[in-house]
Amino acid sequence: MTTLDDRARAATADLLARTVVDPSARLADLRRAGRRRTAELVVCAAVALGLVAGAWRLTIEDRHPAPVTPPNGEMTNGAIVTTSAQGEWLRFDGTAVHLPDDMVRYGWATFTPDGTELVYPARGGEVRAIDVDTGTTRVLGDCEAGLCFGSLSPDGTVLATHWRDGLHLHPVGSGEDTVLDLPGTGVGYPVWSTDGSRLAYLSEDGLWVVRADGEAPHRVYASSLAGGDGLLREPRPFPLPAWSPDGRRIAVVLADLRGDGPQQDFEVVVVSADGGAVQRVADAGHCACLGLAPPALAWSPDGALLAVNAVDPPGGSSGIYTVEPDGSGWRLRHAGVFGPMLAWRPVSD
Amino acid sequence: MSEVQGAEVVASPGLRTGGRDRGFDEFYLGELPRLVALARGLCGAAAAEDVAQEAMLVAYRRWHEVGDLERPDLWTRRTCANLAVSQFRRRVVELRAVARLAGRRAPVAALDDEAEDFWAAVRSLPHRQAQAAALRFVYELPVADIATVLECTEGTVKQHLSRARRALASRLGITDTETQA
Repeated sequence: MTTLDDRARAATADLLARTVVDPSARLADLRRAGRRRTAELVVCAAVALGLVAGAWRLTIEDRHPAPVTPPNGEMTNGAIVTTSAQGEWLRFDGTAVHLPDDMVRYGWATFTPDGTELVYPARGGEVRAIDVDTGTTRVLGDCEAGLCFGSLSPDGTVLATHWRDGLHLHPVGSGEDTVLDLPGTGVGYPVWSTDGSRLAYLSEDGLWVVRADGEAPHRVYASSLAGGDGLLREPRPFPLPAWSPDGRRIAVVLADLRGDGPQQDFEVVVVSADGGAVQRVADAGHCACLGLAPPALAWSPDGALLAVNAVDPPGGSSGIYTVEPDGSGWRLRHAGVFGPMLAWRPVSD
Repeated sequence: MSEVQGAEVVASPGLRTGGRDRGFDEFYLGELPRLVALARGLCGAAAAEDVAQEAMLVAYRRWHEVGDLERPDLWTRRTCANLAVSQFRRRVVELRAVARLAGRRAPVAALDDEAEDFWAAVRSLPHRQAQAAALRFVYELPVADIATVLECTEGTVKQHLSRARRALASRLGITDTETQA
């Protein structure tokens, strides 16, 4: 009589015998892939809302949004921080800041709303914060190895992270995590709103917003791949949905696959945090970088502009551009090929 | 810490001087074949090689960290197992492979019918059960190592394996002497 173990042994033996690879040839292939990704603007993995061309429509509303009122007093635009394609720190348009030397390669980074700290994924599976004026670092919490992501609440007390079992709210310093029971498959990348009342997060079928207590989740942007597979996501933390400083809108990058080939077209859109209104903002270029990170983006602290790391955009060169949220004023600020993170420091007036 | 002046580079986060450790090549050549088998067991033949290669690429790019681990093989198997069970991550890997290997794909030998049925049954399990079962069968890993790969307790691994065995036995219509004991 055949037992499960007999069957398993036979099936495994057959699997191993018939799974034949040429490791030497694949090693050469791996090295080529590694070099190619190092040389390109976006590497290996991106958080993107991917749609097949024609599978969605944008409705353009609210071309003249109300003036922005910055939270927590008047904040102005400080330094823009990014990395080179090789992963080295770069800083533009502002005073010098201390930056971490223990960030994971090609990681993300975000400034706290008061601009005093930069939150980033550190080697060793931790989310840390560095005081950009003094260089002092502190540990905020643990993160999932290989997929480290964390968003610090505006009051600095709660780190939102994702783990295999969903989204966690971790009290900084000590305490047990609160696990949020949320709709959507494969939820991840929780990002705090600037007033700390809500979180935006991604699932395999779109972009969601939920209250900080986990209640009232609602999908503000639906997406699907050909065949209804769902949201195109990557296993690495990369450019993420960005809340406007007034908390009314969320900027995201859409990646549109061209047929079956490796080309992706990138577009920046701004979505109403309450759902419904979608504003096309900018064509952020394209690359033959299938599955790689889409361009990074960041709101200016005063809410007047979006900064985008565009990749070979139409009519221009790759670089950091700024644009108004209604899509006007697309302007190249710094030419170059940059890494997959972008952060804009708030500075008190 | 580093202080960046203007747009000049002062320090490099995460960069290491020197070339890749020759140890990666040795690790890769030894680990890849069975890693592809693991991926095939979890996600089928079409994506297996690409999923395993992607896991190795992650390890390659992070070798300055991964190479220092006591068990880089377990770390890589974790990456592979997670990629294999996530259809969306897998989709990205597959699409990336189109660009990398267009026109150069080698045909994959089919499994015999009973083996194909067995692994299809494994793939039909809940993700964690499938991962635990595949790691057990492909690598004959002890519970402690499976717990390390899946980042859970040994008790949880035993639970996954027990449930997986019951489900497999039921689906395949065969006796599982271990769970009946």
